[in-house]
Amino acid sequence: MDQYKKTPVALVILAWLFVGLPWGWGVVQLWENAKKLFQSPPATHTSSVSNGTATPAAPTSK
Amino acid sequence: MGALSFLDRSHSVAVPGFSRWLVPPAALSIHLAIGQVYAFSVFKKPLNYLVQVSTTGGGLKALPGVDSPSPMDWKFTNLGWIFSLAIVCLGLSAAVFGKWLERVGPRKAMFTSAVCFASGFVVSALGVQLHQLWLIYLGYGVIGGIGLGIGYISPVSTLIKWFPDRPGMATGMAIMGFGGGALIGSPLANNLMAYFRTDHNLGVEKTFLVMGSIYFAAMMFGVFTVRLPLDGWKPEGWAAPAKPKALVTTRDLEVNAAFGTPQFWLLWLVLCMNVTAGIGILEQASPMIQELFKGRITAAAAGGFVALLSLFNMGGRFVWSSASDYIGRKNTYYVFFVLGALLYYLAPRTGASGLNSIPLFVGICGVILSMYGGGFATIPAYLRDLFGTMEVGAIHGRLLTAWSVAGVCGPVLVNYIREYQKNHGVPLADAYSTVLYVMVALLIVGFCANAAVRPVHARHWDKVEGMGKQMATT
Repeated sequence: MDQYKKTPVALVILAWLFVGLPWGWGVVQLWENAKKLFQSPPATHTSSVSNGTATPAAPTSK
Repeated sequence: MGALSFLDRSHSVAVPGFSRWLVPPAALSIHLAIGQVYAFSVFKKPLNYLVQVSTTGGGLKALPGVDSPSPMDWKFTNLGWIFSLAIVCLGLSAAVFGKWLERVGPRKAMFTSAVCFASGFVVSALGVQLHQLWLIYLGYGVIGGIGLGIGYISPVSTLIKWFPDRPGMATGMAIMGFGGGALIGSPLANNLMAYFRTDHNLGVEKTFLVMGSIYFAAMMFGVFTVRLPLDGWKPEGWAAPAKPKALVTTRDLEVNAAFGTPQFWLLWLVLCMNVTAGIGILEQASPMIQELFKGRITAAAAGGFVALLSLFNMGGRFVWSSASDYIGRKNTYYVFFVLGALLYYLAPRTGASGLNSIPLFVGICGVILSMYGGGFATIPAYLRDLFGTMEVGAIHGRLLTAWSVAGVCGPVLVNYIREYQKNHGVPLADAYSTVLYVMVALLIVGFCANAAVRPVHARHWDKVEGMGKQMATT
């Protein structure tokens, strides 16, 4: 039987930081992109749409 | 053999006192890495311009057009096959290697996934260097795709064993990581390409090599951190409910037996319908919002809308799968199908010719996408409820073929309906309405499949347990 060995809380926090920090960075980058939706609409009529490929590439997770 | 023995199942069993909260970050390190696949589109344009830039120079300035003017360059349509191949290999390898994974344990599976995924990048870098597209198909598409499939299912049953009290939340967390992988992969690739770019080289091959190395290192964190619980381990102070819910079994069915039950195929249909409907929105989100609110949404704002939907998709994976621990899996899918159908029906009515409300349209699409992600994240816990924990990773692997089918059928269906309507003179805004109504029909099919799910019939358990007894006596 293996000896009881409690995992230090600091190790758990470090492990979460290891995945959380790059993830948080990614979320911030995406949010910067998403904010464009809330910026003021153009004064003139645009017709840059039609086939779904005209917009800048944003990561989409399926 | 000796050097890699730390990968064995027997060497990855936790000692008493090990914190189960180390297992989700281990799973996330795998899923955040392999989720990069959804950011592969950032490479398409640079890959399309390799020859043009290397011969004429000009770096970024050479990229403004839709397709490279050089006949030597790879075409966009051919480059599209890299991603498709990776997703097909994901589904196939998850289905094929699931049983192997349950036998060898999560550590060896995660290691294999890391080796395949990183090697995929290396072979692709060679393909860029030699300008051989087939090497990229083989590297990122096939080898990397196998890494995706094994990596996707590798932590599922381990997480469920560590979190018997909240299996939905645990698997939801990992699968949320897959949704979040593109959030890291996209800016990382763009920054690396910008760093390595010169006048005559777009820096793609170096970016592939560096990304392969980074992802391999990150995935190794998961390999070294993941542990299996000791047999019979339970969370402190938790006891299995004395009277389990009707759909929750306390027994275990092996993958081949589960494959032969109607429940497996009903859940296959549930996942397939939910994913197909979600792709209906994802595929046309950008042109749809611009068409429904003509003149009020720029292409850049539509890009922001797509990004916002990604956040809903990711968040929904955690929120809905966690909620399913409290309201039950079947009820969670009822919510997806009933609320989803209602929202799909309402979405076109929020356009300029109806309620004329952009916030309402964005909100509706956000909730729909959250349920799309939630459908992915809740399915492992639903499988565990019906078939037990023992081979849930393998069963999940086979069920992912529903995703592959939906991934092909969804976009084809959406594009076909839209093109058909357009060719028959229907205004684009109305063509989107038709697509969304078809999605409502798919959700109704999913609702019926979910309603038909009952506990696995005794004859399936008897068959497996009878075989077990027979083997024990021979």
